[in-house]
Parts: sequence; C-alpha cells; structure tokens
Amino acid sequence: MGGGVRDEWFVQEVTVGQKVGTHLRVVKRILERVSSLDVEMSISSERHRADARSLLDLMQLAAATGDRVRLEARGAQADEALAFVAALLAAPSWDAEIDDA
Amino acid sequence: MPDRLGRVRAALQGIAASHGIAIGRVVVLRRAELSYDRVEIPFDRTEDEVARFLAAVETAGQQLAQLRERVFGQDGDAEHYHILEAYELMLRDENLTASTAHRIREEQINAEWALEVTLDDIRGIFQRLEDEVFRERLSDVDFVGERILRNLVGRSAFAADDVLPHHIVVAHALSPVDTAQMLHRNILGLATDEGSRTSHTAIVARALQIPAVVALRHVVEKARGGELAIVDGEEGICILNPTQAEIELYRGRQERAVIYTEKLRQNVELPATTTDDVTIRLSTNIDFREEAEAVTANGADGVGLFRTEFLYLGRNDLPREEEQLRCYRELLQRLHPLPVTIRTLDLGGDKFSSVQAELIGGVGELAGLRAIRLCLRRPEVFRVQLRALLRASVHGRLRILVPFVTCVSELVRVHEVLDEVKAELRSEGHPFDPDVELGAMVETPAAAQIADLLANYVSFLSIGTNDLIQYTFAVARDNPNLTYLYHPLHPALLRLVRTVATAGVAAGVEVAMCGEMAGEPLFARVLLGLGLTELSMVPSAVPAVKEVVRRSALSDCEAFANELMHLPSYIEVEREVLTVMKADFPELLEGLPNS
Repeated sequence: MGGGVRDEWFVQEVTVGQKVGTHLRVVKRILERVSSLDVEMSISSERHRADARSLLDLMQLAAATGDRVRLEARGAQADEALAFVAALLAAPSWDAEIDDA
Repeated sequence: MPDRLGRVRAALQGIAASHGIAIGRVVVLRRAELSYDRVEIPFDRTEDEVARFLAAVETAGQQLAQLRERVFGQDGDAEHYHILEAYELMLRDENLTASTAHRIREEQINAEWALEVTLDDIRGIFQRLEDEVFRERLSDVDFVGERILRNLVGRSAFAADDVLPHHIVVAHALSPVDTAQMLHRNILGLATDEGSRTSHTAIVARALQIPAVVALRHVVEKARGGELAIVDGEEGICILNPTQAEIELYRGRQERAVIYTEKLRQNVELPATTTDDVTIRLSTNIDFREEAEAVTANGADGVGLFRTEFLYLGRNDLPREEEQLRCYRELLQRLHPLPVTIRTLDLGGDKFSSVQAELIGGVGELAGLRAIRLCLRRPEVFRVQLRALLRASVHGRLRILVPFVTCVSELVRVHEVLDEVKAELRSEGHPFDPDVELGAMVETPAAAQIADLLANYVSFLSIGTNDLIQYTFAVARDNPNLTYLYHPLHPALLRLVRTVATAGVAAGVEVAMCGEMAGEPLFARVLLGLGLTELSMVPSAVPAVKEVVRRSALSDCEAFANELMHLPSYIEVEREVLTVMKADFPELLEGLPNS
C-alpha cells in the first residue's frame, strides 16, 4: 500500500446494537483490539468524539442501543479495525463472537 | 440521649440483603479521609514531582494486577476480573496521566492537587451525561483516582486494608474491589448507606453468608467506629450502640438460628418421610448445571425444574444439538441416579434477539407466542432440543417437562414430534431411553381445570405457581397497588391446586409444584394436605421444608387442608396457617431462610 493510501481516513457509520449501549465491557474490548493494530481511530457519538485508545474517552461516548456512531480510521490496518469495531457495536452483547479474519 | 461515654443509640431501617444476625464492633470505611493541600513546587523540582506521580500510578497498577490475580485467578469471577482489568486500563489512560503530568509542570503544583484537578475535569464530563448507567461510571473514575492518591499520600492502597477481622463493616458503598479484599477477613456483617437487594454488596454477602443490610442512608454519618452494633439481616435493621436488652434479645435469636441451622443440616441424609410413613419428593429448581452440587449438598431428591432458557439468551444464533447435549448430559451424569426434570424452552417470541428471530422466521410471526406455543409453531427449533434431550437420556434419569400447556391438542402434537424425533434417532443409530417420562406444567386456570384430561397424556404434572397466580387473579406481580391479590393461600388458588392434585391421583400420575410457594416451609403442610407428592424449590430451602415434612403426619395435613377449604378469604387462611405452624415450629418464624 502506498503512503497516500495509508494516510487516507476511512469512515463508517454503525447503529449500536449492544443491549446496554457502549458500556464498560464493550469499550474495553474495542480498546484492547484497536491497541493491537496499526491504526489511528476515533469513534464519535452525538456527545463525544473519542480516541479509541483511551478508555476514559470511550466511556464518555454514552451511546445507547439504536444510536448511530461514526467510526474514522487510518493506517495500515484501518480496514481490520473498522470491521471489528463495527461488528462489535452492532452485536447484541459484549462477548459476541466477531469474525476477525 | 448520649450515655456518659457520649455514645448515642441509633436504629436505622434499611433493606435486608443477606440473612443472619451479626453482633460486633464497627469499623467504618471512609472514602473522604485522604486530605492534602495545594502546594507550589519550585521550578527545578517539577520533574521530580512528575516522577513521583508516575511512580504512584505504576504502584497502583501493580496493586490492582496483584489483587486481580490473587483474588480471582485467571478463571475466577469473570465480572470482577473485567472490572479490575478496566481499572488498570484507566490508570494508564493518557487523559489521566498525561494531563496530570502536564498540569504539574505548567502550574508547578504538587501531584495530589494536579491529579485532583484532572479528576474533577473528568468527573464534570461524566456528570453531564444524561444516562444514569453511564453517569454511574463516575464511581469507577473516583476509584481509580483514589488508588493513585493513596499511594501519593502514603496510605495503604485499599480502604479495605483498614478492615479488622471479626468486625462489622460500615460503609457508604462497597466497590467490587473492596468486597474482594474483604473476602478472607472474617467479616461479621455489612451495613451500607447505598445498595439494593440486587446490588453487588448484597450478592457477595449472600454468597459468603455474611449478614448484610443495605440502603441505610445515614449509617456512615452516625457511626464513629469501635462501638457495638447489630446487623439484622432478617428485618433489614442496623442498631448502633444497642441497649443491653437489645443485645441479649439478638444474642438469643442468633443462638437459636445457629442451633436450628445445625439441626437442619442433620436432615440432609434423611428421607422426606412423614410420621405416617409417606415419602414426599423434595426436588430443586436450578438454572445451571454447576448447581448440581447444591442439589445433593442440601439433601434434595433430584431436580424438579431445570430451566433451559439460558442456552438461548444473549446470543445471535440458536444453540445447536451438540451444545445442548453436552449441557444435559453433564447434568444427568452429575446427579445420577436422581431424577432430573428438564423443562423445554419457555421463552416468549420477544425475548429472542433480532438475529435469532430472523433465523426462526421473523419477530412479527412470533409475537405473543410463548413456550410450547412457540415451539409447536416452529417445530424445527423444538426438534433440536428434543433430539439433544433424548440423546442425553441414556446418561441418567431424565424427565421432560413441557411449559405453558393449555390444550390436550398441544400434548398430542408434542407426542407426534417426539415420536418423529425418536424414529430419526433410531435410524441414525443414536441410543436413547425409550421410556423417558413426559410431563406438563400447569400454569393457567385453563390447564388446572382440564388437569384430568391432560393427565391422560403425561406421566406427571407440575404446577407453576408464579404464573398460575398471575393468570388466576389477572394481576401482574410487580403492580404495587394489587399486592393483596398476590396471596398464594387465596382460596381460589388452594382450590385450583386441589383440583390438579385430585386429577393426578385419579389418573395415577404424580403432581408436583415448582413455584416459589413450594419452597416456603410454612406452607408445606398445606401443600401435602392438598395432595401434592413432589415439591420443587431453590436448593437452600430443602432442609427446612424437609424438617416440616418429617415432623408431620400426612393424615393430619389432609385434615388441616380440608379445614382451610372452608375459610372465606386468604386472611383467615394465613392466620390459621401461621397459628398452627408457630405452635409446632416456633423456630420457623425466625432464623429461617424463607424469603
């Protein structure tokens, strides 16, 4: 992948399916996954734009079931990060099995 | 009025969260005892101050990690484990660490003050969140902040370290970490300002069998530490500086409760046989196969109700045959040769996740359908469960219980599906017990009225009182204005139970009861007298009910039930039952886990 593509921001919107919204378990799982990837990522709810590598930030999203959130990512593994976070947020529970392939 | 030592008696009413009575000295866990001032730091010392701060963060991280491993291990309590991991992540969050370090340098102030200002910023953001669930996370932020502060000011890292063994712990609220820390400190009792019967403190206290009262509101404010206190986990009362008379009263109750519990323990090995030599089956209602041990430990005769809903909930697919088979097989093996009654799926269509609903044909399709009605509408879902149950049946003594039956035609259809599934299994070469018993739940007045007809199609009936009460009196359980209708001893209910029991005797099928009512020792004589042959309850209720059974004659119970049938309302019935039970079992009304 060329440098130009790497710097490009990928954007995706997703509806929160998690039954209790973006609660601690969910955002913790997002942080753990995103931290292991080569990616810069933010998640924005109506209230807050959070760095996906900060738990305190993510906890402030306070997005409830049915809310739309916006994901932005760039970096070599942006696709992977977006796919994971979108699938997890759309799933009904924090421990949903996400296909990481 | 204070006595000559300045002690003031205070009796506070809260919510009883965990059974038992504790009498002992108080230790108060105070959150706000960390005090520090704003101190200016000379320019050339700010880097030292930042280093001191980062060291405190590091130490706090190690303490949390140690606690996580020590108390929970790798496969310990998952809920606690995740919370502690999240605390460690928060601790290293740049929003906390980088901003505090920045503040120390920029404003040339001490680490404590800089951290407090940073925490205030974060608190402000959380306080503005509208959703209460998210706002509650504020306590997590406070907790993490306090861990660092304690290391900065040189206090021991956890408030619970201050807890002395054999004391009553008084606190505003307890965090998961506090309770975890106290696990091995032989706490006598817990009294907290906040909490509910389902709050974390209550659950932990019940698991550890420590008496606890929560929601006392002012107990921290009134307590000084070191004084005597009584925690009454039966009535939800906490008395600080009790009078001598109160102490003696409670000591008496405490001793009687201990003696009684010990006595009940002797029942575990004994059969639930009446004095006129009739043996009643006392079985258990459980949700998880891990509870199998509690079944035998409490001296029960098997499982009267194993609920399978947990297999279906909280996921996006449906449990496959092999997964269900593993679960049922393990349960049957663990309890062999005791009978294990497994209830087929008892969910309403609305309880499925949207993805599951798609899988089984759409939410709209299933609206208003529940339990067997849903299973017969979607036999492909039902068959998977029946296949798993039948395949498990060779590993123990299985009984299959069908919920929410209201028509004979439903049972006819269940038999058809069962026969088809058996034929399938035979042709595939899977072994199963061809004589597995089938039973029907009686949960509606309709089912109770046709119990004689239903009995022709099953080998046992099981009365589910929770739903039966709701549908008989047309009242939702949680309607606080209608609680007077929610009385299990209402003549209408007694008559329905008798109808079902009589039908069972006539048809030669056993009649069980598996609602909450069955686990109430005060009702045991009535239920026996009405003709029930099996009572199924939470495992912990078995020893007390067994005690009543063993000290009763079935013939007396029948005469007693007949007498009750003539009383005009639940008020007279309750009064009569209480009078008789109080005379014969004075200890039942205190020190007995019956709620």
